[in-house]
Amino acid sequence: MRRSLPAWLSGALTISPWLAPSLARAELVPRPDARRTALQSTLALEPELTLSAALLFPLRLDSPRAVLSLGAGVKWAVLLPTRGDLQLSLGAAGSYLVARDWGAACAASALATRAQNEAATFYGLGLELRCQPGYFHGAWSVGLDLGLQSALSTHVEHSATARSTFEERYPPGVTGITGPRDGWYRFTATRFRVGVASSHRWGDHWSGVLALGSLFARQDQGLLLAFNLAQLPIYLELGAGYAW
Amino acid sequence: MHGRRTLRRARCALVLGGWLACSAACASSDELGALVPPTADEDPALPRVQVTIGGHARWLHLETLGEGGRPVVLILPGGPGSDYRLLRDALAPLADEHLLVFWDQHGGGLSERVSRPSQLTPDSFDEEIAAVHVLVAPGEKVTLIGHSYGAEIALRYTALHPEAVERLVLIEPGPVNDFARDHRPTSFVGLDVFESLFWDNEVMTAQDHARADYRLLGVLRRGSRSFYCASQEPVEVPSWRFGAYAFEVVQREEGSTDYARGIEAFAPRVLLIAGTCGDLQTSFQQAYNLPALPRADLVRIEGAGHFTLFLDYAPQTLAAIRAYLAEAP
Repeated sequence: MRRSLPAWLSGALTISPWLAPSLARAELVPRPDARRTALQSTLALEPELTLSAALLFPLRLDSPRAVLSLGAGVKWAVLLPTRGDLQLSLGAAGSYLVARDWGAACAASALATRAQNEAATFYGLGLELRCQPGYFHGAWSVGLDLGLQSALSTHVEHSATARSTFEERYPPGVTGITGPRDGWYRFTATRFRVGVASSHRWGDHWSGVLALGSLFARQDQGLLLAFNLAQLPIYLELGAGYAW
Repeated sequence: MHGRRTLRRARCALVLGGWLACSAACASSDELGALVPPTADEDPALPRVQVTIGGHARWLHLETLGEGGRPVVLILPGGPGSDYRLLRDALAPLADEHLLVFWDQHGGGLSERVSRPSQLTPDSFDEEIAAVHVLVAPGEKVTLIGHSYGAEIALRYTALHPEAVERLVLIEPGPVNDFARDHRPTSFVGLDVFESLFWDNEVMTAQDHARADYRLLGVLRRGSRSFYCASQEPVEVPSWRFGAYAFEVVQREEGSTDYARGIEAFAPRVLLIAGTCGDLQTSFQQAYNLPALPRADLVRIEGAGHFTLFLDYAPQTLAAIRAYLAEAP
């Protein structure tokens, strides 16, 4: 079994990072026969509470050191149950074993996200890239968790509240700058992920993973920790996977 | 087989390339008026003045109501970071006997944004009030009316320059010293507000002032629920723009500032107004702020909260201010 390292590692990496945060943790799970369909579920604090699920389908590759998989997933803001804030993801991941116990998985997923607040309803289209170089040994693994997410284009539909902020600013008879403007905006969110992840496998079907670290956004004024600017750069994820 | 794979790759590249090109063609949230109203330095059509604060020329969003020659009243909104729209709507009737001067403090409302914590301190606000004072009523005493954080800096200005102030009205000031700060009720904003604030990072992060202010607007109403009666739903409060950076930074920078230090030197009586709902209501003022104000009279407005003092209860608030201003100092 130990001689089939490329197989289990590539299998492990198949359970991939490509489906947003939920899946990225689980590819570190060592899994000798992971070229199977898998269902992943994750509870996370980012720091908002989210629940995600994803279904993964491995593809056949010639190389025993590499794995590729495709899949789709959904992430949900649990504490906003009626607002319809969720994220759909679709993507692919590749993994490669570079040495006996060392490997890495890198993945890309396309994201479609809905968010609504008192100012607007947002529909974001973005990408997430995530890489997890790690050490794999028997049923467990440990590694880094590095990532970049970006909302490349976001449609903003302003609420009546946001529109009212443009009223009654000017003296009578003065026409100034109007707004706000509904429409598509580019690069409205970019966040970076730096953390660690560890996973364990139980038996043939079940695996679990824990990841924690910092998920932070650029802030031009240099505030990286500021509640009122939604800058609380931590994440903690707990995931479970079942393969069959 | 090979050809089909190449075709599939080309199609994927085309879709991805098209998407990236489309993204590049989208508008930028930096464009003036895209998300939030531009500030006074960006929009010359706004009523504004330029003053020097901490060696920097700053554009302040400022307007006056009433005729020149009448007693001058400087009116300071709270936040920190808020604008004067709520106060203007409620206090405009005072313009029948006074010249009212409303403005947004630097870093807040529609005034110029400031990007350094060292430029958003109690001293910088003191300098700002002095600059506006000199601009609108040089050599004359003025009356100050402040709400929330605006009341704290109005108090400090009066304490530091008692000879420059005619009368002082404090409407639900925040904690004026460490004693009051230690006893301020700690209210959690609510799980839904927390969830919304951070989930929105998926689509828009608070990278610059405009986006940060817009993001805060997204949770402002529900995030203010601790200023209402327990059974009351937060209402829409008239506002233009809330300075998120100033809101965050000013509270850090104030440290253990005692806004009331020296107020004993101010001879006239001070009017303190508070409602009976929310974190800064009468019971808080009475127990923790009033001891620092030796010559203050507390007027309680039954049923009012921090913002409804200027909405549903505006007539009562106005009546209390009018009665105070009508008395001899």
